[in-house]
Amino acid sequence: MKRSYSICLVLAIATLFVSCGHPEVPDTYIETQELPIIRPDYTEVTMPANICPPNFAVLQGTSQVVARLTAPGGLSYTYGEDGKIVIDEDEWAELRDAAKGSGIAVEVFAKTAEEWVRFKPFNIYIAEEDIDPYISYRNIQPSYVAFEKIAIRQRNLTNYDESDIYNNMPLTTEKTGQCINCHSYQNYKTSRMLFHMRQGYGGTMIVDDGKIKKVDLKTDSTISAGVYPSWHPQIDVIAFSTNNTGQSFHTKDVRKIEVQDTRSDLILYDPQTDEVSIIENDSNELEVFPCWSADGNTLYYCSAHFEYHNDSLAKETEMIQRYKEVHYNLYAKSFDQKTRTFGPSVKIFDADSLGLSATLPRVSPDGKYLVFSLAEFGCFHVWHPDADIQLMDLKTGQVRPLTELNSSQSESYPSFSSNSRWIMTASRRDDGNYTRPYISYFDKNGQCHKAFELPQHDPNFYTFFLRSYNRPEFMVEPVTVSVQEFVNIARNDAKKVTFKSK
Amino acid sequence: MSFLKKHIIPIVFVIAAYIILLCHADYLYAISDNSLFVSGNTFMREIISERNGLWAWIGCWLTQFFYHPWMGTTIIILLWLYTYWCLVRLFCLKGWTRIFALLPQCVLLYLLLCLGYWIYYIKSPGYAFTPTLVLVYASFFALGADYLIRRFLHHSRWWQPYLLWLLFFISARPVLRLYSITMPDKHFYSELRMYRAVEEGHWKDVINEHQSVSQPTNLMVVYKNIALMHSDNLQDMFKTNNCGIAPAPLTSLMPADTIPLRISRLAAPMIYFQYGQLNYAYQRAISNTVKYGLSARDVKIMVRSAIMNQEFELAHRYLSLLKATLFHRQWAVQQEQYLRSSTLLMQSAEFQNIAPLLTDEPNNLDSDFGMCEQWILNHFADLLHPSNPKLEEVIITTSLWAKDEYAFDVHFYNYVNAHPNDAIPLLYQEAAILLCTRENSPVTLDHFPFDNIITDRYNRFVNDYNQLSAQRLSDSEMANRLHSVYGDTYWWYYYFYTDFNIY
Repeated sequence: MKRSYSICLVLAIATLFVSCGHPEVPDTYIETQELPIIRPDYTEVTMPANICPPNFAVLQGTSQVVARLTAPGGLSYTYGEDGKIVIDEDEWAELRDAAKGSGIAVEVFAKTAEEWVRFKPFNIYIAEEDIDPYISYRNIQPSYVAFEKIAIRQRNLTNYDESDIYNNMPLTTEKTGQCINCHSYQNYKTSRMLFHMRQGYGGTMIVDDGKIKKVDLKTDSTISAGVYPSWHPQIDVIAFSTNNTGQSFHTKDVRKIEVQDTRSDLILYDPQTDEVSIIENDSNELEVFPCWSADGNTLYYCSAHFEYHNDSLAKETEMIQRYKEVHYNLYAKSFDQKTRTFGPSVKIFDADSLGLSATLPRVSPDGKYLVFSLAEFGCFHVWHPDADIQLMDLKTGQVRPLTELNSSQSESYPSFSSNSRWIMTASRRDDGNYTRPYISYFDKNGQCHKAFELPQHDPNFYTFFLRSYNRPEFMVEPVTVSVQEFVNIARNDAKKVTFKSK
Repeated sequence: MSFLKKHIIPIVFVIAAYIILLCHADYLYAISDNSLFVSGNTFMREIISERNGLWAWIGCWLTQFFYHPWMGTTIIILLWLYTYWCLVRLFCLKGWTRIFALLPQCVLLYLLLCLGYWIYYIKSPGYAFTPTLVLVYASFFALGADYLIRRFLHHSRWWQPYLLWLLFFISARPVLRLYSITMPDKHFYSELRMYRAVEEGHWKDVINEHQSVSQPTNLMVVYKNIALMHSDNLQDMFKTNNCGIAPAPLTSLMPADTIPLRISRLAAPMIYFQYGQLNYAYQRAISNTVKYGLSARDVKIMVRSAIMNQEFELAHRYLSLLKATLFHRQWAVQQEQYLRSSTLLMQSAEFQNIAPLLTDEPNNLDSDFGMCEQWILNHFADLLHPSNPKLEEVIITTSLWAKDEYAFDVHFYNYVNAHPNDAIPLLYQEAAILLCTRENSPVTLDHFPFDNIITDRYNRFVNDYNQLSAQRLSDSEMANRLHSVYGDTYWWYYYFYTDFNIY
């Protein structure tokens, strides 16, 4: 009896070891010169020197697959189970470190009905540079009519850890839902951060040197509370747009939804004094998407010239009728940090003259480049399949599309990592509807490399995850304020800010 | 025989429960259709991360078996039998007193069946099984605790009568609460059957179900008109009862603090899809999934809309979800063939039904403001330049349905000019003789060759109407008296269907 127990135990342990081990590469196979079809597509991408393993699924053959990853020097591991290549994190770290500055060769073998096939090998290049260890994003289902569960989450890029920064469920009731949006940080650090809450318990949550407060940025002299934010990289002020935003729905167009501003301005908020002042408020201009330069001496923003012609129509109605006429240009204003005053606006990119619309500018921390989204019209490019990311050389003013980062679907909300070597965008290339973070290596010569999708532990994760990743932002450290701490403050009334005239 | 005698109570309960539940097979199917269980970690994590997520996840898994009502029914009855057995053991019930052990199960049966329209509004996945699961857990736990107490502490069961009363009150409370908010409506089951028939393209069944009730709801009228539209019988719109009413909850039983019943929630994705409004179908379906969780019915509409819109990658995503389910996999595999072959898609009955409605009209920015039926009426009544006969018919009949005489004037004028040598359908003549002879009508019909049969009947209608009017009868009395003779005409609809309660 005892003996049979022992045999069973040995067999069980052996089974465990076999299932945790590395599969054998098949002895015989036929070769094809086609690259394997894998999801996410990590063929010939360049990855950071500190990224987590890029697990992927093989979409060809049966579920019997093997991938052999080989780093320079011969270090090699094999993986493959149930159609998936799930790489051990420690072994990946070994491979990644060995391949820093070069590439990991990946051979994929898949069993078809009759035989094993070896696909054309590809490389996963490992850059010399790290990526910021954290990103944050808003997970929301891509429907702007209704919302229910929304979470602003942070993800550790060196592994798969993910946690909520805030989610709306604790304070959501049936009668008053709570929308949360526009998380923003000062200079990639989280000791100063903010996000908005709307409807239930509305207000802007500000974390200022670790202290949390909730403010109401709407004053009698401004259009709305703060909307799109940009925290000054050095001093404690935040530029916001204020917007009258509406949305309507395309009856046929694949864009489906159009989000438009009927009015918008720019304001500056001082968290120390809780005062707001006007930056730009031309009634014939729709100013939006403020963005500070890395040195804090320039404020970039977008603005569309739009004059309402028909007094008998509501502004919303006229905007809906003329929505294709809204073209945003890029502007810059100098900023004196001592006096906190702005210089005149200078148009730096005339998208309107090209019949296009430029939105969502972001400047590289090294101050050399500016990226933005360019599409046919409008400001809400996440729903515009034609929206692509463009790169402006701030020295020459030349603009070119980042082809390696773009796709046939919408790319919007670009951002640079803190070392300027990685560009992340919210892309809908997977299916045209769900936004995913795609990251591209941006080398010292200003060249973008093929973008890769944010790796997940389960390669099929994105297939079954029905929420978008909006507003992906790099962070050099995690947010340490807990959801409960935010909730406790969110329950309080928001402190009204005061308006400071020029 | 002795076995039968000993277990007569649970046997009677099982038979009764089976019969009752299977009499509500359409309803049980609808519960499963309003839910979706996807195998895999991602779905599980999404559900389990919520409060009471484990119950919801298990409940959701079990709910899928109502796809075959007999299967779900068997499972839930087995769970109830288990709890019965636990309670009998727990309270040492003997003989007829065992009937008390069926009290919670009767409550659960009632709770399951009395939800009515609430099945569209409950957000917790797996709600159909959750109370049963809680009872299973509680019974199991109580039985275990009782065993331990008796085994080790040697306590008597002095607490049993108190617990029984507690159980009674706990059982009664949800029933009373639910009774106060239930929305019983005789049309509910008809609407469920009609939705399924529309989904499966069984147009005759839709029309038969519509005719089986004396006063259809607006939603039933919409379903009926969809069936007429796709079976080329739209000219019969007013020969079949086109006078929808709001379901009961809207008129009297709906407590003020509950959620208003809207066609948008009940069926907007399907209605928009059947009318070829693919963007709006998708938009409403995804909004439903956001607000109320994944459901097979909404995901299927998203698949169909995406395929018709040629958004194949998007369709593929949703098909992947459905392929990871037990009972929708086959449907997904069938739809998947349309991603590979546009010929197959164009040959499909569904495409052929919808394609003529995919208009050449320019894209517009618009919103339905949550009123699906109103939007359909306005949208089609306002359309100009139909590109095919089916769309032309939909536009004209919809303007009549909406009683939009100005739109009809234009459509009729266009129709007559576009078909100079064709016979004008009787319905159009009926409407034209009524609407285009108004003083302010922009259409002149002085020499229009109306069929004599129409002219004579219309004159009789006017005479009869004037006579009854002279008798100072109320509108409803006049409507009743004229219905037997003119109930199949547009005139009767135009004059007497005044309670156009869009919801």
